[in-house]
Amino acid sequence: MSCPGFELAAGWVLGELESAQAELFEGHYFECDACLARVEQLEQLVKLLGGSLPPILTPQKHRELKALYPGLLAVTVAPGQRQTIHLGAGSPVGVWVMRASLGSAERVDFEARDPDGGVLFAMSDVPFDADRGEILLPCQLHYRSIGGPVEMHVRLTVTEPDGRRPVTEYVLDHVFENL
Amino acid sequence: MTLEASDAELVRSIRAGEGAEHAEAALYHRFSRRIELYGLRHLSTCEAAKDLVQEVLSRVLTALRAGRLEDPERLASFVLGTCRNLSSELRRSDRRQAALARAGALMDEVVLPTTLEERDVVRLMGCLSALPEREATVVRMSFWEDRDAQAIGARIGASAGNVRVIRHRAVARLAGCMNAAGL
Repeated sequence: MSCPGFELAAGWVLGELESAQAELFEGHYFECDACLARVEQLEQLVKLLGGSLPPILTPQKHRELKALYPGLLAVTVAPGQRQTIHLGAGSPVGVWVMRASLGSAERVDFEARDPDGGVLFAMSDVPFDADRGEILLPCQLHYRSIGGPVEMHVRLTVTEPDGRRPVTEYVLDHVFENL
Repeated sequence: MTLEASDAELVRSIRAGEGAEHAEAALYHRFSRRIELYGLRHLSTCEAAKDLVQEVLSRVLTALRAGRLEDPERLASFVLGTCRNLSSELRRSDRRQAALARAGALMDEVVLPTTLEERDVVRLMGCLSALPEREATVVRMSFWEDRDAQAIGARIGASAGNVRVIRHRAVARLAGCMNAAGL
């Protein structure tokens, strides 16, 4: 068997290969240093994904994060409003609580733009808490190195049974304390 | 005996007893991490995977010293076979381990977002944003929203099997991107 490549190795690391395929891969992996290195990289990546902040928090992940960081910083922002979050040594992780009327929402799409209107990132079908009318965007001090604008304009689009409607823009300002 | 010795050379040295100490060290170096990663896939905890390393290498060395491996070229297959047999024994001894095999191996170590290297987090964000939207959505829903392939498929209009294929491709692409960025 020649080197099967990253995709098959990823399937093995995630435990999702059919048993015959997994056995074939294992037979090769035990003899191949390149595949051992691939599996190591994938293992590190899975660990990194598992430990990283989600882009948007589910209510369950929010509870887990509060358990990990008692006194977790939360900044609430209403549609059309502007707020500031301060992250530093005392508050390395925070959560934007974006309020919206989501009672009949079936789906919410998220888009973040810079002050000039350029798209920073966009995500479709993100988690939301319909009962509380919240979308939870976490952030952490580590993001200061991304180097993007500290002023972020967020637009949410809600899909309801009778169609899609935009929710007013939120302006989120980030202040990263110099350590 | 060096780390570059072939599998067959290692087997012959261990069997002969001459320079066996170095050969055994080389054997440990060559296979311990492979066995541990195999254990992470098939057993329930990191601890169980570490135990597997010790037990497999102990059995393999005992067999080699006793000359029970007829074809020295088949060392890797012999180690893998020992892994399979022992993992199977361990799973039979505790059915709960089999049920927890996949999730437990990855999740028994709690990693705090703030303990991750800042540069790795930034690289991950960059690599994620470079993924095609469908792949990024599958990664997000799989790792951060705890949705299974069936549930993700229902959201993105794909079969569970197709979701798994997209997930493998996305994770492979992310690993390649992270590797290029120096993870």
